[in-house]
Amino acid sequence: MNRSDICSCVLDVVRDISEDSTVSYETEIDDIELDSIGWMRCLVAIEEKLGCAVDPAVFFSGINDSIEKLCGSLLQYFNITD
Amino acid sequence: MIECLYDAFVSASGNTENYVDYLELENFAYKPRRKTFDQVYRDIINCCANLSERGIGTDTVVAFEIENTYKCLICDSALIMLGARAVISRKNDNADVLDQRIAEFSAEYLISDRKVSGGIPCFTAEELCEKNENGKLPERHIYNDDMSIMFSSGTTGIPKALGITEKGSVWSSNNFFRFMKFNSGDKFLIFMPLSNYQQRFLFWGCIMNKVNASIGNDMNLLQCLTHLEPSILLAPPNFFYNLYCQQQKTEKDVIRASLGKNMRYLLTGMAPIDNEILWFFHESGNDIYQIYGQTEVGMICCNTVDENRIGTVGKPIIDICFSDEGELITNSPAPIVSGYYENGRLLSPMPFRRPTGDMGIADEDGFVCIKGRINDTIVLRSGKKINPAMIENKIKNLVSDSEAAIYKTKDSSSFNINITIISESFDGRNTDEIRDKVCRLREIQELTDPYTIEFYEADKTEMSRFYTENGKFSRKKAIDILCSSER
Repeated sequence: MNRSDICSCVLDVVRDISEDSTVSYETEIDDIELDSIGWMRCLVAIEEKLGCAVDPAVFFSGINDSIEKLCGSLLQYFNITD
Repeated sequence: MIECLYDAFVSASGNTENYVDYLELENFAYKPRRKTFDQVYRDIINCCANLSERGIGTDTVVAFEIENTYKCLICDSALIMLGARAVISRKNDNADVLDQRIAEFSAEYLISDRKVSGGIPCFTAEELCEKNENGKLPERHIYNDDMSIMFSSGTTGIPKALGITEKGSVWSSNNFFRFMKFNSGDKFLIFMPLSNYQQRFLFWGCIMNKVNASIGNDMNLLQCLTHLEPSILLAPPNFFYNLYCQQQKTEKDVIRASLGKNMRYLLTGMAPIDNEILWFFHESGNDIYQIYGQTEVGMICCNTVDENRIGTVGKPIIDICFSDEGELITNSPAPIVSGYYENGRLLSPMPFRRPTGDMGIADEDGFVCIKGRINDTIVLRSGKKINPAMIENKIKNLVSDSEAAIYKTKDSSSFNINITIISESFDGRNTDEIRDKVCRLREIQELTDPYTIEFYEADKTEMSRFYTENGKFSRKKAIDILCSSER
């Protein structure tokens, strides 16, 4: 699993569940039309795609205010630095 | 007959059939953990030894920042077995609030993961659950006064300290579990914060009635549902509404996929739920059973698998009546709450016969319908009474990411009905279209008084002022803010 796997997985899942193909790395989390269950479904789908569990506290951390930051948190969680 | 929670925990001894499940994250994978009731009992006894060695025993006041973990449940149970009194807070409460509660209730110890302790000894649930060879059954204890102090924002939004009685807890949770006919093949998922009294109450109900329990939290809820496959879930209306919205967007069966394979009892309460959501779930083969209770009294009315009527909160499970004004009055043999505390002292005790503040009506078959808060009732010029809470809920469901408040405002000479829709932003939304949708609601069309529909944008900080400490939208707070703001 590398940086690209994680980032593209996050983007694909969020675009799919929010039904918004314009979501990009720069998109702010608040601008994505997803409610709490929607984000929980994103987490589950990301876990399924990556084949491993993500600590929900990392995923739902308040510092993840954009898709880019969310990807950054996941990369740090999986200790991927390349 | 179980008389006290001490007896309830002792009754778990030797029970290897029932269990408590929870998830742990290990090496990037969820590991389901299972503890039989017998193991739960042994873990409690072990924790009692750790607490005793640290000086905690009968009547010791312990501030406890409880989290939704198995170990916190064990600590909570051990404190009860020892006869200590827990002052329960949420992990997310800020340090000042915790310090204030420690001082107010003269807490001698703190159980928390924080490093702050207000100058008193502080232990983590983790260390209190470490293996102790000296574990032995403590002396039987029945509380004569309050077992716990908990905090509830209620409808006013201001957290109040409530005294929790052991007698009321035992009686009310047993009464609820028996009425619902939960059985030993069931598994109850408890995921809302344990600092919310009803969640601990559900755990005790599981132990006393030999119903399996599973513990999760509001962040790993979907994983708990799919990995632990509970059969009973109590969730707020918002959870079902969000699931409904997700289902609307896709052909996939999101509801079934989210709820796990064994779900048979979806329960909701705590706030009104739109009948449309209830019908939607009913038609998809996933009935939601609406129940009604109050922190002070416990469960009051419940729909069950055998008797469910959409649009009602079910049949009473305790003695109730209605006042001439239509207010629902309870007469519980054992209320859960002894009374409210102020500055660490119990104010006047809670009467057994208690007005709920809710307007209600019972149909010919005894199913009760709640019409809203009595103080919220708006009397139209025609004399017709409307209760705004249900209409506000409908509006909220019509307009995503919004709240709504309906209240009377005095114009230069007459009263008008003001309907305010509140959101962080209406950018990119067609407010005329929203207004049109709201006007088409039957309840709005039936308003005989003049009304206005307004849109109110509040940034994140201001938005937070509309909510109670427990995250519930407070119409009282909202109306105060809306009326005082320059519009």
